[in-house]
Amino acid sequence: MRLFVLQLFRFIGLFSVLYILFFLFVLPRLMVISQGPNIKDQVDQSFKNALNRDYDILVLGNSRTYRGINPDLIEIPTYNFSLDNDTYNQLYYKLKYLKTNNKKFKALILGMDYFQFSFISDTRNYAYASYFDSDYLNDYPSKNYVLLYHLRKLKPNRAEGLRFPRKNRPYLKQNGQFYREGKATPNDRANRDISRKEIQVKYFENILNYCAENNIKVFLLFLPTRENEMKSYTDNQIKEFHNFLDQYLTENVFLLNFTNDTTYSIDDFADITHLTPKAADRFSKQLNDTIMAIYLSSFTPSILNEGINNSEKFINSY
Amino acid sequence: MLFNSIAFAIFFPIVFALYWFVFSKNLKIQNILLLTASYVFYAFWDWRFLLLLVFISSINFLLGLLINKPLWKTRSSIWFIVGIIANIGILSYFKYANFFIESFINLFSILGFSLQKSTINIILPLGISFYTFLSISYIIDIYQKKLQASKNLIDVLLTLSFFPIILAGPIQRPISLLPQIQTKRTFNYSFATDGLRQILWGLFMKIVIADRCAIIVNEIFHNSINYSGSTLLFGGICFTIQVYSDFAGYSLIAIGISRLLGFDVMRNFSLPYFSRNIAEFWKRWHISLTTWFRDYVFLPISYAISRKIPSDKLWVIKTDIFIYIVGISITWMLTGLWHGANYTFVIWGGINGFFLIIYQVLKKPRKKLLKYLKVNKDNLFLIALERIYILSIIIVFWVIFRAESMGHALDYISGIFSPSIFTIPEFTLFNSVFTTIILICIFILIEWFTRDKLHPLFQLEVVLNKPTRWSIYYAILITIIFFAGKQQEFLYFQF
Repeated sequence: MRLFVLQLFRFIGLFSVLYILFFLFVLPRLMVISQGPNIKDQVDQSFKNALNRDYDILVLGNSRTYRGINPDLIEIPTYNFSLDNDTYNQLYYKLKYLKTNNKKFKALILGMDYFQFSFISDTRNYAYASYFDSDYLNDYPSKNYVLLYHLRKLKPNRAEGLRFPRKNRPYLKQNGQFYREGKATPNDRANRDISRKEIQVKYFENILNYCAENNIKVFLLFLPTRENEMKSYTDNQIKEFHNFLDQYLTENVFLLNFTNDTTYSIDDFADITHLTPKAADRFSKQLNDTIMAIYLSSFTPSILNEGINNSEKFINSY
Repeated sequence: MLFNSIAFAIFFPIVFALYWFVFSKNLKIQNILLLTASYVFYAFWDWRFLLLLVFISSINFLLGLLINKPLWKTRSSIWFIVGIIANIGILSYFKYANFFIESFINLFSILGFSLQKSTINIILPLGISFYTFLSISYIIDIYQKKLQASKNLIDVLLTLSFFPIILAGPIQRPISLLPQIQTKRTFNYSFATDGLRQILWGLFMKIVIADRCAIIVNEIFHNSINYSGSTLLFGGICFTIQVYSDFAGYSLIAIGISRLLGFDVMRNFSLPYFSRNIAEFWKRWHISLTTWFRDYVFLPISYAISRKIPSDKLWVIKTDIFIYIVGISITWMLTGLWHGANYTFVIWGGINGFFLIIYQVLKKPRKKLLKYLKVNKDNLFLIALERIYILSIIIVFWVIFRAESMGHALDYISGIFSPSIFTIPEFTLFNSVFTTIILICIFILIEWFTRDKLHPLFQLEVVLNKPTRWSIYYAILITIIFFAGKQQEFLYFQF
């Protein structure tokens, strides 16, 4: 009996040591080789470039804008400050971060998703906490997010993302867009929640108020969305959602809704929700035309009609 | 509580430590501990049904005593019949009430009568088919005087609710489990290490093979209308592998856990997909259930009929064949029904019975044909052909088994046999499908090359030194960690 328990402890002990060493030190490096920069590196690079680069338009949003907008294809200097899984509270603190660092811009492209109000993301807190005001964490339960981050590294399913290094390895561009290839399949599914948490509505309004105070134009942007994802919502829910959004639309807040743009097919998606880099480029050009039309209409009335004609089907359409 | 859950990873070491370190000298307390652990394990799913389990096992304890020594001038047979009716009645209520109500309504509507549909909202208690069968065999074995009714309530309750086997078997009959419960257990090193090996291999089968296959299977079966024949066939093959690795994996874990506690539980699977005929397949698949049906249904029916038919022939059919046909048909209808209250299961059972009868009828002609063709029965080509043939049939059987309704099953099967069977399956639709295929191939090869052993890791210490053995164990553990599928419930929990 004693021998059995002793052997078992030896076996488990040796395995645990190997496991911890591998998951803490080897796997993160392998993941970088296989999957590109980790989230912490992405956050650091993204925040650094947000201060170092010059731009007039800022893009904020979640992974859909992070991957789906290529600032290089927008005629006005633009920076993509989005990140996977960002929610409005985090986007608001990003604006505050830029303000604290005296970074100014003239327009904001704010990524919109029907599910975007339904949760409060905490998966980046270990990284964001060092960039944001201390009150950022007041919206979250008191936890040691850095310790949790390291513990999370030990979760067995972290190894799932490990693949053989690919030719087109994901990477973060200097302009803030995340490049990631992929191929959507007809069976991709997503369960989305269209409900709105009060806290996210509050931060969404904070963002709009901030922009109004600083004379920043806001483009509320819905990117092209797959039918499979839209199945999560009913027509009534979408109608109600837009009724909600309508109250925020002003002469400086525009709604650009590309959700049902039929020119995007399954081949343009990398998975259930993200555009491929190629489709992102196409979309960015399209977005550029639309924004330019609005921008120019603000200053040059003669071009207004032409610009609007090109883009009217996307502006405020739903 | 699933075997492959964090809760069980905490629960079992506590039970193990108390069992061997604290209470090892007192058999009674050990049994009380195991009974408590069994009830905690069961109540983790739904504590309300724990009362049902306690009720059923207590009733059977009393019935066992009454059959052994009838009171109030009654006869054993009365209590035996009461016991059988009570057990089957409870099982029927929880498992088949709605099925029978709906079947009657459908039957009446076919006859032109319209009845209002009013089914009852019944939750199927987990493992009820398993512990009811344990209870029935307890009653039967006592009645047949193969087993002495125990006067110790704890022993009987534990026999009928022993946690490693309560939810999905193996159906370890009281005739072999009860004596083990009544006897002092001593820790056996090689017995326990073999238990750990079985658990390890069982987890690999369940977490890596079955759970990965489940992702593919669920998608293809849920959207079968959208897929080509070749993809449907691929889905059928994946389910064939899933159902085996899920259930055989579960059985290995259950046997392994029992071994760690000093109990010897019967083998439940013996490489069924390497069978050469349907009869052999069913001797190797879910052995504890098939032998249960053989001993408690098929043989009694066969004996009863044989006593009624004195002649060698009945009309034109030989009596023994006739008895076999009747016995197998009833047994397999019931086997199908045991699996679930759905016509797919009944028809699945019926088809299995039909193929068993065909096999039995053609057994002698086959022998003669092989002799005439001068083909040895161990001819490699013949073996391969028979194995492929039987595997193909089994894949179709499993499609029926997995389908949501008979209509779905027929659509699926006709979809397989459409011209699109000659196209390339739509592998790219599924994430990491090639990794799954490679893992399945490795799994099949390991099972094949270790087919003479009780399980692939059996008696490794005889042929390998410790560092090599540990390397193998670590390799399996790492494979489980890296290639785990999305956690799924064990398939046989639903039965």
